[in-house]
Amino acid sequence: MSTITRRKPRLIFEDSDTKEDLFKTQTLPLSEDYKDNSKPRTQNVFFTKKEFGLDKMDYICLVVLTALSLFTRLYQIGKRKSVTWDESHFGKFGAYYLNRTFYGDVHPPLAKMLVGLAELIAGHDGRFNFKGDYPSYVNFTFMRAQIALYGAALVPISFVTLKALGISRKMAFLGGIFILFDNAICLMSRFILLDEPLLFFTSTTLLFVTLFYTSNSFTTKWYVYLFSTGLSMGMVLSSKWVGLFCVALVGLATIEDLYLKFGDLKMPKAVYTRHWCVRIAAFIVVPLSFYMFTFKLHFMILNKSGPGDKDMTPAFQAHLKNNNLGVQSYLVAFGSKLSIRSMKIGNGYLHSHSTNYPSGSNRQQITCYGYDDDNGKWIVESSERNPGYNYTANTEDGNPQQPIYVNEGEYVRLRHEKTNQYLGMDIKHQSLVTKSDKEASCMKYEDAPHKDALLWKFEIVDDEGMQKSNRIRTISVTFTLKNKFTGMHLRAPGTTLPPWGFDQMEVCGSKSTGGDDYLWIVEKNTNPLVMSTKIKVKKPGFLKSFIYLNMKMARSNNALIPDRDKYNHLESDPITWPFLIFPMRLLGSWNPGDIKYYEIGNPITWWSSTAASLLFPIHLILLIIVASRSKSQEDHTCLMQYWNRGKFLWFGWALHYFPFFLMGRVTYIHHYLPALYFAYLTLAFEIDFIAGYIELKTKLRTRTILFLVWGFLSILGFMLYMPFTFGYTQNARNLKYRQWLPTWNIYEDYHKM
Amino acid sequence: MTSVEDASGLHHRKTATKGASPPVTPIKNATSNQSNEKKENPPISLPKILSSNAALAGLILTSIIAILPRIYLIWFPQEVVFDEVHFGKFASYYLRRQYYFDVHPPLAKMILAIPAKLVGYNGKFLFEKIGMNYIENGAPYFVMRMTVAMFGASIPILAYMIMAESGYSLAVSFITASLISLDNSLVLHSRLILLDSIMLFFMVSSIYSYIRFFKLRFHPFTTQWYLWLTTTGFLLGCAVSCKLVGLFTFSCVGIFVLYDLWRILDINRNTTISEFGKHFAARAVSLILVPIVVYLTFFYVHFSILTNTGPGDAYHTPNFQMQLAGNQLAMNTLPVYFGDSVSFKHIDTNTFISSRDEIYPLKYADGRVSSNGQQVTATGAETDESFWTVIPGELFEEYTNHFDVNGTRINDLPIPPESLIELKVRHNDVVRLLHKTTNCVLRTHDVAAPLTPTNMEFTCVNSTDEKAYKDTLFYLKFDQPSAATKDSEGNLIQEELRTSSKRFRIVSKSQNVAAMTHAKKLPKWGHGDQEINGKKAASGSNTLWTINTVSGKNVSDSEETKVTIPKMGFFAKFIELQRLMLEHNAKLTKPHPYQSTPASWPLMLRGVSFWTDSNYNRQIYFLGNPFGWAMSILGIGMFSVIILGILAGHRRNFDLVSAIVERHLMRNGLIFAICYAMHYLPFFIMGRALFIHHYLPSVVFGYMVLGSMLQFFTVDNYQQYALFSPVFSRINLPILPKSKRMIAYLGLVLALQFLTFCYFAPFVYGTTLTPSQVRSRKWLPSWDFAFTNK
Repeated sequence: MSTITRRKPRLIFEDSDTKEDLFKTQTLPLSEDYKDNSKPRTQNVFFTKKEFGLDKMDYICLVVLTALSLFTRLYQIGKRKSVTWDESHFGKFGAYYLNRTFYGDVHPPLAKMLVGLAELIAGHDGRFNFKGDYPSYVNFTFMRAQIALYGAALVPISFVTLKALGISRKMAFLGGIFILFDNAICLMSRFILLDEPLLFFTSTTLLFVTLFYTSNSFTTKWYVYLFSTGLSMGMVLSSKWVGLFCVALVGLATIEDLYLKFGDLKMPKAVYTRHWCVRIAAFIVVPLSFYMFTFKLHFMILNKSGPGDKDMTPAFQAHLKNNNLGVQSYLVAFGSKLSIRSMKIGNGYLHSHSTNYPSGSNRQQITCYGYDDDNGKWIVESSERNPGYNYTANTEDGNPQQPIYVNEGEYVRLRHEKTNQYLGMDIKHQSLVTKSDKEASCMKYEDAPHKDALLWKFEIVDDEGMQKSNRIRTISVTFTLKNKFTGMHLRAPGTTLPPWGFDQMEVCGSKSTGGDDYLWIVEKNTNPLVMSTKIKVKKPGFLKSFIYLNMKMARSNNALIPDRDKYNHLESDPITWPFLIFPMRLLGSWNPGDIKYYEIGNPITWWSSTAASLLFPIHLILLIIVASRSKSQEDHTCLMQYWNRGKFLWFGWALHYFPFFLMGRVTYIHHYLPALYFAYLTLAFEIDFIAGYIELKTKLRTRTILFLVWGFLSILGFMLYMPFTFGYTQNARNLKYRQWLPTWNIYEDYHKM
Repeated sequence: MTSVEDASGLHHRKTATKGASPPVTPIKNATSNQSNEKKENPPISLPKILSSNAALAGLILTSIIAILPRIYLIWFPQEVVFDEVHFGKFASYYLRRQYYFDVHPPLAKMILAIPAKLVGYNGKFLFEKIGMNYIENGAPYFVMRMTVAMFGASIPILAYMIMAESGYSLAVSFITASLISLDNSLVLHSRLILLDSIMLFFMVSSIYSYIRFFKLRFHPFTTQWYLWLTTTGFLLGCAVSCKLVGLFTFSCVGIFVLYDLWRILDINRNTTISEFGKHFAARAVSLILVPIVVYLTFFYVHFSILTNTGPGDAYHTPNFQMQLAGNQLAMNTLPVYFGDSVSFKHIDTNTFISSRDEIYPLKYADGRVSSNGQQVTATGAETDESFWTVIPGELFEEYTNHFDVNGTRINDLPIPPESLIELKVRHNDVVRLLHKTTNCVLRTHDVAAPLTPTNMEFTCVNSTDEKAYKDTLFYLKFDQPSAATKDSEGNLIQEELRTSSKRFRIVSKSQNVAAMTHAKKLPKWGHGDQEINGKKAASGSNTLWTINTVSGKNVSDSEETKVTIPKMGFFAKFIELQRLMLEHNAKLTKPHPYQSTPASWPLMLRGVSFWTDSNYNRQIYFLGNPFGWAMSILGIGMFSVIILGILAGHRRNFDLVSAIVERHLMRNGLIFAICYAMHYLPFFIMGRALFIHHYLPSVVFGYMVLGSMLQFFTVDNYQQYALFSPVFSRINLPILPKSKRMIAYLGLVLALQFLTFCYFAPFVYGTTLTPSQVRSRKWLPSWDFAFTNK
């Protein structure tokens, strides 16, 4: 191990084409000097000085950018005095934190908590439900301004990030200008939305990870940057799940870094292990803990019953204040009216309605439906009494009857209250969607194929109740339902029925058991004979609720699938984003006099950023080819510099963009904004690299020229579309010459497809 | 692992000089200086496997092992099995020269048609249903299956040749080939009229061909080099022409070629840019241009054979359909004018829209109430009651000059030609339909139809009824209309309605429902006619109608009947067909009971039932060889670990295995592994319904990866095999590994493969098993065999 050579020369064969390979002798300072902290390396991976710092000029730039940024983000921010765009959602979500009522949403809580915090500071008491005009007691301007600060911070952060990457000051400033003068980013920073916190945390993650790579290992600064990166990752992840792409970016860079360090033969194993451990702590443990922490906070704050109750398990709901599940009849008796819920996430309640199956038995449908309505009520009947017997009526002598409780293992009938038919099962017909299972259906008592076909047995699987017994108890007991005739268990496999089933969930029967598909729970139990009591059930632990809620979010997220028949002009396909083909109106009414906001980027810089992003891989391959054809060290250095600086920016763009192609859910143009942030930085980097190359060869002051040209174009583009960014009140037709593409809808109502 | 230590190659390090630039070997010298000298072709040799007796014996033995299980009982069952229903049918269409549509390119299906043609079969049987008897229907299934079997048997033989060419010991090559020979799934697919074996043959042979080409890399631009390069391109083109999955093989070869070019480009190899350009151009032409030409050629042949109308017409645009002889669109038909009385024929059920002087009962049996209006039904025969006069939705001048509001001629003057043009009924016209015998107009309204409560009722109403007026307006919307043309004044003119050739939907203007009928019969009050109702979703074939007759006019004695057939070149046809193939392939998302997810394939979680015969408890069931599949997964796992280990070792500057072993694994083993991965992983992002037989190409390459692992663990003297020169034979090489234990291991693998094959063979050959025997073979609960309990 005494040699320094990266790779030993290999055995030469008769047909010797082995020794050359892709992993070339690596002489660049890619791995850290492990012990010479006294004599720090002069260069980092970005080929800039170790120990990053800003000088006076940099600070001046920062001040200028910040001032302009604050101005563009805050100017006339309160112009439209009504709830605008998605403020109706996110403003409301923020208000829930003030009301402390439980709500359900597809996004993690952090960004919405920040909205809540802004509302708290602005003095909102949670009364306003974010519909229509803002009332006088809501200081919406202040709320918007607070959220806009996150957006405003993007500009200085982008400047520092570029500086840290080793981009020249001019070009870093230009990068800041791109972000500053992009109309879409600016517009989206001016309302109470989740995009600002998301973009902010995305940018801090990138900032800290680049700073991390500029510092010497195991110094204080290094640790600060490291854990700041981890924390930023946690924050971006807790704002929206697209934060995962940020995590992936840092993850890939870390893997590359550790791979390079793995090849550093001089590094002692203990130091290498330490590198691993520190990164695991900072990049996995910290973000995950922070993510869980936000949920802990979420559960702690939201302790009252609210619109999101049904997203959670009944046991959880029972512990929310004012939730009507908390106090109700505890034991199930004959004649009880039940709402039976499937334990599989996203299934909902056992449901039937007066529509028949289109084939198979042609009997009445049994489905699972997300809401507990009149069609989801079932009455338990004893198999010993006649159908329709009234268990709750008074006896002949006028006294109320004694409740007869349902025991485990007892055969009962379940009558659908609305249609007076019985839950039943027939061995003959296979279920129409899950062909391997048998069909469950609702039938009249007389029509049953067999006298046992309507008989069901409760089999208790799990008991969360404080007291145990063999009785069926509301919420506490999880059970399966076994049919006597077929010997099969009722199952909700989570598949969606075709339109004949109104897109509700399938219910069928299967011989086997196991899994949530087969588990049911009584969520509501109404019986006048049984006293309402406080439901004695354990509150599910944090971890259980956390996992349940996240699974639920994942399911609802996937359920946001586009309905192509109702294609509206707000949605757009990911492929159109980089080319700015379908900008979006934030408001429906577009008449003269209305304040109009149009989400359109600065087309000039937007398209340049796309060109830069598409150019990067081609440029990289060209540089690799040049390096492989050249014996000079310069070309290799050039390649390494290009790669090390550009990889963060380009992969940031790619990771925030391409996954949208795989997503089935509805996509909007503002989903591109995080990718756009990276694309703008890629553009600045690309211009800097090319300008630097030309300057090297020709002595022409390319950087200055390009800076002036692009800076001018950037401002020009911003000015052209500024009316729509700050709110345009005149007739949109006045601006018809700014419609550069036929697909834009600046003044005509619909996109031309 | 003793072998690894023996061959660790540590002694080679002595030759390494620190930091020295790599010395140039004599052969490299020769190649790089070649440009000056006259190129010398390598001595033409027989394939090496034939130049040694042992190798030849191995080849013959492999062939026997490959062929026997494939032709054993190949005549059984004498019935249509599984997808033979499709591919047998397509072969028949070639012989009938009738146009069909399929999502797969034509080559494999044409190959199936050749033997049938040779034995004089004329394509009279259409393989309609699984279980139909071949003997009774006179289909030459035996020769067709034999053809497939020959292609199938060639796969292990090719595998043997690939392994032998790539520097594996003959024993390992032979065992790998035998493993492939004795895989139940591959045998099953080689015994039936299916496409996969033919496609696999082209896939594996193109890899063989590429390896032959690669071995000539030190003799570039020689005849042999060009020959193998072009052959590779040709075979790749054939693979893609069998099924589009062939593109995976294409991309594999693409990866190899790019890597190869990358190494040629390296400055340390002293290639000039012009030499590199030559390398690049040769590969581009042979591996891109040649496959494209091959692909196009087969489609050209396809179109040249299928010149008659057939079941595939309906998929295509009218222009395309008119190219096919006998297509209804190309028939001589009459145009329809306003004022004509016409009958509407339903495409699916061959019934006619009729009405009679009877009304719907006020109350139906299920308690619903009707409009009590005049009945409109679909009758099986064309009678006077099936004729409807077409009246324009708004009366215009040309019309009122010649007809009254009820469509009766008001004068006997001949209609001038310019008016005739105006009076033609066209696509998207708004019309009213006046029933000829009862003199009232067709109407649909928001009343539930007699049998289908979700759809709207059709009835007739007095033509002067003001209130019902808007419900009596209908669009005639053509199915696949041609683009509107412009007349001399620049106005857009829609396509005209003609009898028989145009299919259209009758869509209500006010209710936006389309007239449909289905095989449900009305009760007694409706005389057993079919119900007609208004369907909200207009798409689907049960809403399609055509004009059967124009009352009083005849095709033969009219001059307006001729249809002009537009010209359509090969490329226009080709592009249209490609687009349709891709569209329909992507649309194959309908869930199928036997579909499975890619993740479950290597573990063989799911089989496919091909055929059952309950009389004798016989069944054919798709299942791989559980032992072989498990072994190859193990092999792939070990291979990945070893490769990762080697790469990690390089980072730390030590060698896990000897340089020669590493070179062999990194080059040859990796080729197999890439082929395996490239034929498997892309399925994960495919949206369509997938079946386990999509995994078959990966099975073959998986066995080859396993072969490379067998060599790794059992053969010590790698160098003897790996280092032999591409142009000399291997006559004197030992065939078997030296260690007796290793021979035993190899023998054990083969024996177990054979035993498992035999154990599951009844599912391949469809021999009788008792229920208990079936149950004992049910190793996984998800293998849903038939007849487990009886």
